[in-house]
Amino acid sequence: MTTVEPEQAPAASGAVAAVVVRGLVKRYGRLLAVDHLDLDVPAGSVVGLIGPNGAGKTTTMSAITTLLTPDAGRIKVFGHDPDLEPREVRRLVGWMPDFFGLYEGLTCAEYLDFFAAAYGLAATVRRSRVGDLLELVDLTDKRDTDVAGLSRGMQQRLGLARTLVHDPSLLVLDEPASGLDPRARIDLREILLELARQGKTILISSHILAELGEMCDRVAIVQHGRVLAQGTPDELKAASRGTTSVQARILGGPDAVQRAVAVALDGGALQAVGQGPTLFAELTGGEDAAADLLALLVGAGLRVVSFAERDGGLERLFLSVTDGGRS
Amino acid sequence: MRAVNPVLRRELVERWRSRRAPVTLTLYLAVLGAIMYLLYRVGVAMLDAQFGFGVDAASAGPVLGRFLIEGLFFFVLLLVLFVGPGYAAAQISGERERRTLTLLQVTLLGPLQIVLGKLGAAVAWLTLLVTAAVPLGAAAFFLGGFGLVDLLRGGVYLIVIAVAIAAMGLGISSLTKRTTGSIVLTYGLVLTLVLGTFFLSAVEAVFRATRNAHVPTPVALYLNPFFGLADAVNAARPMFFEAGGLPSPLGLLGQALPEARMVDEAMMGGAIAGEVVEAVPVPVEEFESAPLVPGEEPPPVVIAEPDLPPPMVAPDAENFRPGVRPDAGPPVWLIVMLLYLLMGLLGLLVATRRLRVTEPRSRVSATAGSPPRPGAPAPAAAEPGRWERAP
Repeated sequence: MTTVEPEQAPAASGAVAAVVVRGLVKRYGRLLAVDHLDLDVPAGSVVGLIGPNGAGKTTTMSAITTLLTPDAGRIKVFGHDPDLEPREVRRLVGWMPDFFGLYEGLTCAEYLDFFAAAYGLAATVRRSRVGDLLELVDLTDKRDTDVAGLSRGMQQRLGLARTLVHDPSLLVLDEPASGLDPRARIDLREILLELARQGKTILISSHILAELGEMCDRVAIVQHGRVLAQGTPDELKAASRGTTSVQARILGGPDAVQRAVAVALDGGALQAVGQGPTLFAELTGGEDAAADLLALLVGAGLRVVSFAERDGGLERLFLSVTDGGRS
Repeated sequence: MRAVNPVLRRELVERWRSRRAPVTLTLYLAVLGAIMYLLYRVGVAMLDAQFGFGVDAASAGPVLGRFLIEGLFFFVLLLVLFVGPGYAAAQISGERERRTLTLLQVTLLGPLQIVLGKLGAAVAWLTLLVTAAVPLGAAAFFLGGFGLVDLLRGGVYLIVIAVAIAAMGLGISSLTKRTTGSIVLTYGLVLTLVLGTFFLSAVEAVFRATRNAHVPTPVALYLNPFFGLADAVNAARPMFFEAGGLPSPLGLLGQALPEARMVDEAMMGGAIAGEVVEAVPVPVEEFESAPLVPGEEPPPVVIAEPDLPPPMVAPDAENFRPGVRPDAGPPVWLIVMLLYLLMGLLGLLVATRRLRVTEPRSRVSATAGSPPRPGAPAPAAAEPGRWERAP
């Protein structure tokens, strides 16, 4: 077996590229899931893929992890093409899907041991590796528990341990925090930060923005199969300056909210959506724009209960970058 | 030492930790045991009816023994076809349903390794089913009427057929999304192979009979697992009823075998008439019994194959040797077995192909959005270096 040398990728800015994606296209029938997507993941970094459901995050991750063949475009994982050299890529990549594949009747230790064996690890190596991983994800006391009996958070941690059985350099984690309670989410973040400290490259996706803000070195915002913006969180913040998000609660049911959406769009909002009784709007300009919108809503006879500028952070950034970029 | 296929190991652990396998095995043996007991009673009753009451059990032993062992083979195959395919049919679609299939595919296990692991588990299960039935033949072993070769050939045949069907089940399992669909399709296939071939054969026989007098063995029967089994255990006897054999299901099926595969009629007649054939020394004197029917000078029978194994137990088996026949014509059981092996291989091939995730690049560039310009080199594979920038 040859050791795999991470290759200097031409497109990355000086740093060694863990993943380079160029012009990735994938169609499912008539649906264009990924539309000329470009992505850079420098080695040793934590990169967040942010986008709503159906944005193409999972498809992109599947292509990186050799699980599907793209219709067009090129991918390099440490210099290897997942399509042409799947074994090399599989050896280097640990993949955690947005579901937990359960083998009933296996204990946690056996579950990990099975996957370690599937990666061709010798029995002696497996024994110590399984012990280490259970300790890392804090499941040592669940060692001999049936995997079916684990809580969602524990399953998620065991799933993370599974992606690590062959000591991969790159972790591809698809929505790892979805469905976790806050406590479990913090535990997961701790483990991921520890892995990042150990030098693992991590590509992580989410549609819940808050959980990625603090731990990502870089963020790529994906919608409709394209990366709309990527860079460090600071860079993206700077790019989104000059817009304001507001939310308003409107009385009068869905019709009133729809009317409010129309009013906001007519009034020059970059984007406006109704969600339940609440209107979310993205405006060009600062506080003046927000005040103008309120005046318009009230002027249109809508009954506004509350009106507030939304707390910024990544969520606002996301809204502004995704839909501001389209219109 | 080479490591055990991890998929196989996991399947075995999972199977034997669940309650399903032991329960299935117990039920299977209970049903088979009950059938064997019934067959024994039926056999004795038929012998009584044929020869009158007070038949000497020892002299009729081999006839009863053969009846029992043919019944055992028939019902083991029937039950294995009932219990076996479901397991295989659930294996790949089951992984898909549990969402573990992609987790396996992303490891270094190749599609073939996954499929072979699954097949290995099916082989272990089916071999267990067949071998667990052996003790139920104990009564028949004691009565005799068949040779060790019959047993071994029948056993190997059973396992091969069962494994081949399991391999087809794996292929079907790899094609379906849901386990229920896979199981329905697999049992549908088994039914077609068992009953569909009978139906086709009947149609063929009738069709041929209307055209000429000679009706050869219908072609479709060569796909019927029971038909091959009848040949494998030498169940074919011409006019068996008149000759004194008992009508086992396999014996009935054997009637359709090509004539060359039939056990010699004269030998059967001689055996039942109680003639001592060519003075084969009978080792245990006290077992010698009076002939059932006084015979009227049958022609001396020459035993064609002197190197056959000795009969199992009963001394009367020395003059009742239904396994003996001038081996002529191509062995039907071998043909059936080969056909099944081919179909099983096809199943494995399908499963292996379906488990492959990354298609060869050439197919991708053919389906890629823009058609390649004539004369231009193939876009992706030919220039692996030129991928940096998409326009």
